[in-house]
Amino acid sequence: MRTPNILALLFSVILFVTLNAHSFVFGQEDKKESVTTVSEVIKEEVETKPLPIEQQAYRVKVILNFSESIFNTPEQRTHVSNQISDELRRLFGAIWDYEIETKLDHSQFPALLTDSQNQKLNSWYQSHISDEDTLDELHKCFVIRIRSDQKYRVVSAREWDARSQTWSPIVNSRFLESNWMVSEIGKQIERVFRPITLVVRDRIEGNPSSKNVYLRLQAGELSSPSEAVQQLVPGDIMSPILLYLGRSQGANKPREIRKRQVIDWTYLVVESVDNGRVVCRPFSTFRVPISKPQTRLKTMALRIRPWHESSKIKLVRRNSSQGIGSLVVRISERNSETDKYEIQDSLISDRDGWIEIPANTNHSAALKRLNIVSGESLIARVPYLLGEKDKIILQLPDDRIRLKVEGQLTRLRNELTELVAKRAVLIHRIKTLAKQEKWESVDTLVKEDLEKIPDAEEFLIQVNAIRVPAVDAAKKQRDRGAEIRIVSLCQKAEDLIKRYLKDDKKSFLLQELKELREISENKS
Amino acid sequence: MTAHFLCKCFVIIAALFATSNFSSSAIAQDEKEKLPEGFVYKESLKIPSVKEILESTPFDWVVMESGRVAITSPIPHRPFAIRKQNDRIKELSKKIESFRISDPDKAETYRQEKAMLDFLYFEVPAIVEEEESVFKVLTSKIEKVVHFEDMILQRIDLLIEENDFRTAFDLLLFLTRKGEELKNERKKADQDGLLPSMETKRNQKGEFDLWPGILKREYAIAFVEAKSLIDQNQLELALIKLEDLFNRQSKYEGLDRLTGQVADKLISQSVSKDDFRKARHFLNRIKSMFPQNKSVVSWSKKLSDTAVGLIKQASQLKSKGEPVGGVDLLRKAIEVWPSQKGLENLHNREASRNQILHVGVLDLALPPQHSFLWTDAQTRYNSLTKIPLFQVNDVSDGSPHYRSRFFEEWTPTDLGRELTFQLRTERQPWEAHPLITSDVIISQLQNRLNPKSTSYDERLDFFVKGVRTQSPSKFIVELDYVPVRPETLLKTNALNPQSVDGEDKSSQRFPLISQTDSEVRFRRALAEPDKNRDFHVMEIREHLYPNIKRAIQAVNRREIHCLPYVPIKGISRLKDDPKYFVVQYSQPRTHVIQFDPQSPVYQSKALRKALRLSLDREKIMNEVFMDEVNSEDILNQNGRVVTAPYATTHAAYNRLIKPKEYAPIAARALLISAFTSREEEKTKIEPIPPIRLLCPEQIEIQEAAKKIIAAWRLIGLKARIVNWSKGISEPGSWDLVYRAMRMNDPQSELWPFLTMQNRSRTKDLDILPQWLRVEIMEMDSANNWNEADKRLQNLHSHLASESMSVPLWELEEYMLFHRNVREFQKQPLQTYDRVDQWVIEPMQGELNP
Repeated sequence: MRTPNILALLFSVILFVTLNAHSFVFGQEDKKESVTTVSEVIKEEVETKPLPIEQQAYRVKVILNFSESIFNTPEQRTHVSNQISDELRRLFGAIWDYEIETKLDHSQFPALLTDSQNQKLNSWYQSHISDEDTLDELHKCFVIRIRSDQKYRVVSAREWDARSQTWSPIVNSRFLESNWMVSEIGKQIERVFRPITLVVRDRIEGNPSSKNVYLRLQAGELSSPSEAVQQLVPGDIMSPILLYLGRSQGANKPREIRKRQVIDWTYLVVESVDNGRVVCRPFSTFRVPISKPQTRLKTMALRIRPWHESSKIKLVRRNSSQGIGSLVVRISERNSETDKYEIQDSLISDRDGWIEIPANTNHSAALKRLNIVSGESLIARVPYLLGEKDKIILQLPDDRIRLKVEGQLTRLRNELTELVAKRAVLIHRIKTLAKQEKWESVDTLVKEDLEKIPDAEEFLIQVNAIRVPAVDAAKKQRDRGAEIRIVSLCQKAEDLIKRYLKDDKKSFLLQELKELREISENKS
Repeated sequence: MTAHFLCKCFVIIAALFATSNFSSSAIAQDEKEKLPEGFVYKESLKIPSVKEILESTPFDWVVMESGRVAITSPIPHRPFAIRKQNDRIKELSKKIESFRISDPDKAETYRQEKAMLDFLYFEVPAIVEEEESVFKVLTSKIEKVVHFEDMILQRIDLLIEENDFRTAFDLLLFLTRKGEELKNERKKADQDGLLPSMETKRNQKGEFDLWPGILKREYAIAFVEAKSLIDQNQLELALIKLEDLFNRQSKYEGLDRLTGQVADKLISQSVSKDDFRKARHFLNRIKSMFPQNKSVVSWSKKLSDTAVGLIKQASQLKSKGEPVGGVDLLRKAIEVWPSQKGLENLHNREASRNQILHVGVLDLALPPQHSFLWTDAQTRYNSLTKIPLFQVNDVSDGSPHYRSRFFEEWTPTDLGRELTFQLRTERQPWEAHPLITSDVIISQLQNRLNPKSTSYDERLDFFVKGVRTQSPSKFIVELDYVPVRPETLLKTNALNPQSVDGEDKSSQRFPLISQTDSEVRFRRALAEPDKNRDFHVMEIREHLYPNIKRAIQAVNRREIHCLPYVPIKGISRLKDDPKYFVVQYSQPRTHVIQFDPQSPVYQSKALRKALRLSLDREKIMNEVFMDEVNSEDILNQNGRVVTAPYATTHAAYNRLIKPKEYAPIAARALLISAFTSREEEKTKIEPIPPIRLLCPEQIEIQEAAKKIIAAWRLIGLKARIVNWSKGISEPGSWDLVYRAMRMNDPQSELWPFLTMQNRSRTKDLDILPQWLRVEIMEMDSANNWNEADKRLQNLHSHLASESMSVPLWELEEYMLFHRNVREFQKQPLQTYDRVDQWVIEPMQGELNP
């Protein structure tokens, strides 16, 4: 069923030559432009160079699995398979180069489509697909299971992306009318299909202020017969994946992918799509989330969607699996008009560090920024597409030392508040008694109460006693951030103490009393 | 002097004698003649009015046979002056006769004395001239002497006839006081043996008749007053009057009849109100006076017949399988007629088999209306109807120790990562609850571990990894983390409505069977088998009383067996009373004011501090709750000011935290600072809004709350009390709540307390600062008891610093039992601690004191 698109190939070669464009063939090093005749170029390129990615159709395999109760005969299965093939052609046309295979492995498939453990799926893939189709040849594999549930038919589908080696989530469709089956299968395949893009530039050269990322969409220059199928539209969200490539294995041979790494907490929001050229705005917890493409380091991105109704996020300490309870997570969203984030909701993590956030069906609106607050300080700020995954772990810095300091300083502040109130009252009483010339009572209050009120120095010593061990502990943990925050908190506390427990007040009072006493004695 | 006086009198006497010798016709003619001042005709005499009696100088009438009457000064030797003279004359005549020959001189002396006694000497005050105002008249010519006292008595008679017994009584009192003067004379005469001759009477009480006729009038007045009271339907007062009259003069005419009349009315009224005890009381009183009175005989028969009828009904009920109803009827029969032959034995036998515990309360035990704000009554309800898998059994060493009604043992294995629970397969015959199997508990646990369930328990979910059933009586709980006290995870109800086939089996111990405005009844879910030798409480009945005095009175009257709460005031007297057992609860009750986290009051720390510093807690506690007379209270034996919402006896109570001093002026300063805002460098004091305190309806707590509000007013903060039921039903209608509670296990209970929820959930902690939240959560991650207590002590200090609540004081509490209740806890943790083991012995004459 593989149909090489010769026309597209020729077109791309011509385009390449005329526009003097780079070739962005996946796994292929850029080549210098040859200075020969056009016909020679065409001939050479056709023979030696793969097509650019935006001209490459997806090489797809669709595996159908029917439950025992449905389509028992091979004829029936072949008939349905042909119908599905027609439907896929109608939907994807030149974008896909596909083949359909029917498997009767009833024992594996149910587990496959219910188990979300990618490890198991990967092993299944290795044993069932890789034997027949090499990774180089296959881009996508769709696993479709059709079964009956009482009078209903149920279609389950999920996609395997060979380059990123990841599975899409499972989607299910349940319907009554068996005539709808083929169109439902088509719909589910379209739902789980994750278009691939390749990062070509991290920003516009010569414009450092530009934050956009530029990508090429596979088969982006190819058109789909169905208007309903559009690989990417503005607002779609993609998840970038770093590909570490091996050394060159010779001309025209793709480089081996040695390692794949999903760039966590980073999303690319499509701003425009034009003939396979995609401009995205990155949202990431990192300052420079997307690096410039290098010979052995490429960045690809897969379109993702909020598949799940909600996302559960576990907040854990770095290098620990233990969750952090009672952290406040403020969910904010970017206001496109003001380009500022506005807080929409605030949640608190449970004892095990979990929070559950319901997803929004609107894709772009589902992209939120999570501000994780511990006490008075913000300890993390990450973007997240709600519903992308049902469960995810977010590692956070250990904030316990700073938090302990915050508690100690709060208690110190409480003492300070009461003390200031009492001192104010005491000063007032002393002044009143002095005006009434009750000097004995004044002396008693000054000696027994006022003199005993702790002064600023005592409080500053206490602040120091809090700061020194905390800073030491932070240093020991090599947590520079915590260290800075502790020093800042203590500084604020010291300022407060100095402001409210000025010695001037006491000395002013004593001076005032002295003068009043002298006046009183002169009178008498 | 005497000769001169006699000489003067003589002329007057002669003239009077002359007039006395007139014929009757002549008198008629002379009536037109004007009599001298101080003399009137007999016909014109009128009994002086009340006013005249009270205002005029006392006088007597000397009525002569001629029909003239002299108005004289009080005649001496009253009231029997003439009779005394006559007695003396007789005596002298005998002496003259005996001495006529032997001693003529002496006889002559007696003769002269006798001659003098032939006359009555008196003074007429109306005659101004002193020399002419004294008269002497032959006693033989005097018809009678009417003394002033007699006139009063006559007026009293008239008043009694007019039914004006109050004025009559006043006059009688007036006369009695006058008669007091004669009292000594009477006593002396009595000693000399002269009293019978003076015709002075004694009544049954041995009282002297101060004036002849006084006692008679007193009886008459009492009788008339009783009649009047009967007319006014004041029957009990009338009975008291009649009893008094009976004691003084049992044979008073008409007394028997009138008493019977009162008896009829009183007894029939009591019977109609179903108050047979009262009816018997009246019957006994009347019977003691007139045993053969018709009413007494008739009512005795009626009551006896009623008792017999009740005994028959009781027997029928028992045969129908309603023995408790039968006991009620027997109890009723005892109340109606305890002397019915064989009744007491029958009652005691049945009451021992079907024991009913009568409890006197000020608030009936009914289902809670709120998820966590429970009154003591609602806690009692829960303790009777709910069966926790684990409950605190002992806190005597300052730490909670748990016990279970359902588990034989619970053993930690795999270094505490697993807990193996072995359920009991046999129950004691006295136990009121059924046995349960693993599946019931597993089902409940699954429900509590399901985040979508309303019963979801975040704390349990945190600790528990999974649950495995090994057999119907054995299951294993796998743990992610090891709690210090694993029992706290399962201290919820053993059964809940969702767990068992849709049937509500939430009440499996003593379910509520009936409820009225004044009584609630709980009956043992599983009755004790008949083959048992010993039986225990079958039914618990709480009776509502308006105040503690009435409740204690009911204990005295043996209407109830126990009081779950006895105030500290007067507890020492009850402790000394041999009729009762006074039992002290093992933990004091802590009184604390909590803030509604949603209220603006909670948001301001300065305001919270101000509320705390403005209270002189020691003073309020002593004034409201303590008994000044009791030296124990002075030594803080029964109450003390606290700094935490749990007992000072708990190991986690940080004793280094001292209660904040009463500082109203500092509180005022903090209050102002709480409402001070700064706008453009200008200080502005905002108006202080009034705050609302939700307060239980217990009288003492209300009193304390009023004093607290008064203290807040002193610092300029207006506050008012919100009615409990209104506040419970309307969230947001209060800012603060006064809670009186016992926190047996602060390690697991403090979190829900602080968040004001019925369970511990992290999201509820958002009202607290992060560092405090972390400390609260870390309580659950302690490795051992000591560490847990240490963390709690630390938390105690920090909560006090943050003024998260206002702990007031803790009070020791007491329960009162009759001596016939046995097997109760000597130091109970709650009112109905192990109530299914209590035994009530029928007392001899239980309802017939």
